[in-house]
Amino acid sequence: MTRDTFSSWGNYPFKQQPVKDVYWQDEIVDKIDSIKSSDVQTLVVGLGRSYGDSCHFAGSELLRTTNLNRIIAFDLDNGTITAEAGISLDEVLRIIVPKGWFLPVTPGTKYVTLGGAIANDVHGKNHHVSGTIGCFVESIGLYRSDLALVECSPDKNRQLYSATIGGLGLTGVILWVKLRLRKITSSYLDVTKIRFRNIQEYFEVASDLDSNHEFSVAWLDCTARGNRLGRGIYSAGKFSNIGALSLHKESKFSVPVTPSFSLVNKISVKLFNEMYYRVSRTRQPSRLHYDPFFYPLDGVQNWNRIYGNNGFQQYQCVIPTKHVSSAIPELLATISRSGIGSFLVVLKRCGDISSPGLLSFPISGMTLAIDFPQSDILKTKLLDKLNGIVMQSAGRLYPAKDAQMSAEMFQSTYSNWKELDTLRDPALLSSFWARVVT
Amino acid sequence: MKKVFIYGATSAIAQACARIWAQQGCEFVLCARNEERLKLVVGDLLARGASSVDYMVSDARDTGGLKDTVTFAASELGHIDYVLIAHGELPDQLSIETDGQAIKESFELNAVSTIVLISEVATVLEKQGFGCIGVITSVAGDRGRRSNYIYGSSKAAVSTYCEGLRARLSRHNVSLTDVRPGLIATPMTEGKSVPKILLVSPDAVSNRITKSIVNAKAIVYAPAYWKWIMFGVNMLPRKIIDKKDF
Repeated sequence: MTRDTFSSWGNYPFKQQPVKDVYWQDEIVDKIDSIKSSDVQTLVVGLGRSYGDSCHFAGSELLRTTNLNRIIAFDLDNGTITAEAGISLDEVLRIIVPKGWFLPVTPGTKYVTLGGAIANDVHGKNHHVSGTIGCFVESIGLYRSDLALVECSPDKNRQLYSATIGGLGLTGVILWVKLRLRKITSSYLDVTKIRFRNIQEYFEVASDLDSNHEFSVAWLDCTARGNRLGRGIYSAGKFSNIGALSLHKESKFSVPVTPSFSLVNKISVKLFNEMYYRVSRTRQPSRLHYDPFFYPLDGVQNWNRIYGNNGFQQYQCVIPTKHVSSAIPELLATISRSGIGSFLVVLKRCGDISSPGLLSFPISGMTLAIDFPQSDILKTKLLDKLNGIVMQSAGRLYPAKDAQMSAEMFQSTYSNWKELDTLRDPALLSSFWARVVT
Repeated sequence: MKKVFIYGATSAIAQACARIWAQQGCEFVLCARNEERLKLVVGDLLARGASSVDYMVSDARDTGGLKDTVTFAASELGHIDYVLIAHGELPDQLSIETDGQAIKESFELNAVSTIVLISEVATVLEKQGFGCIGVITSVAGDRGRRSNYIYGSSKAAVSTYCEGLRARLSRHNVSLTDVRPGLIATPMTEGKSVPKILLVSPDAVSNRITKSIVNAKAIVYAPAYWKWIMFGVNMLPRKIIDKKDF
């Protein structure tokens, strides 16, 4: 009997997997060594924010590292932190913010582990100027069934270093990470919000403002059509010099149970989007704490439960620059015609700073992310069409979010996949990898 | 700057409590059996704000060596403000219940070594005339139950010892807090079949535990609702509890 079970954030594909918590690095070493001689494989997971099946293991047990959350060193002067891989970004912030440091890159939730952030080479609202988190990784302590402990960095074991950044946790167990931080003098950001009436207007606003704002992102109303197609709110920010180095507080709100049906439907989405588009305060700059700016969804714990028992899929693609102006409107039109959508639609420019990661997702262009309630017809009615547009415009999908792309699509859009498969630790395998590689 | 001595510093509850004290800039002496793990805890507390952390490797089974660890802590720290005693092991009841030697060993660790340690610490604190001692016992000590009466009775021994010692120490301005955790998600409960709804993380109880010790509470359940759960368990008629496997 195990104490706990583990499922992915999207709850699709639905799978409740037995999970074993590990508390010490030496337990990982023992576990990996013990399965080395056998044919079984395992997979390491953290806080379970991967949406699809990249955190699913085809076998019988997962190892969860959220208790490997010790800090090994925090260099206050040079701004680097070395910590065990299971520490959450939430916890990292609690330690570094009061000392005037911030994460160099942060995803849209602070409830991911440091190891998970590296394994998925996460990007954030500053991708257009900073690149992915992988660009700030100084070294990684990796434990492999064949090589034991390997320290990798840009100068040492570079091949494994590149493969591990964005390597989906398959190149060995990440025991610890050394990350370069970013200096801040305040916890607050000066934020500008601008309402745009359609996607063309967005392109203009973004090209005007992206370059002189470190952080930018846009929310879109996926139900809007015709000349309102792609209307939404653009928000850009930069860290302020004014304000205290104050910490975020834990959210008091939570979705307590999973309803049997999804609360996200045509009516609720239409209503919310109309309201949000109209009510958002725009134009006048405001000062916002980093918590609501970077992590609005963290304000409600377990928000993924609103999709009910069926769960949901997040579709996140990136379209290279030269196809952006044709492919993004086409994707949006296809989505709005389908009548399937949700509150969360995010559009963001990706810059041309390349990540050291072999399988890193972003490419210079634009990334679109949208949540869809899971249903039997979702794939045939919509996702296949979107996949077609993405493929045609030389784009690709984000493995951390994916639960549906075919092996052909993955292999043709991630040309380095074979290299990663060669470097994969034979003791580690995920359902995702088994799906897209065989 | 408060000075803290923690025995069993690699236990999950002790680590969670130590992090709170580290944030306050406390000075530490830590003891545990496994040096490699202990060093990880030392580094973690330093990075989280501890002003200094010394450690000593110690195995509680060697009860003769416990006096030395307390002497080491007292001399390193100068004086001791807070003590947390958190070592112990949950034996597998079914596999040892007919094995007298194994029962003896389990008792020596969970009861005897803890009592010896408390008594050594008490002597030092009594002499300095102040200080707070916290001891992690268990709700299992409240009533003997089919599934864990060996562990439970060893914890009960510690609780009863504390009850009496508290009376002695109170005359010397030294407090003794008997901390009784419920089901906490630690290596101790890993792989055990437990009701998920009652399982909480060490971080969820660490604030309550450190505050109780610092505020010189006598007995504290963590989380607090275990007081009522154990009240219910204590009320169960013997006829019923004898037939239950829990």
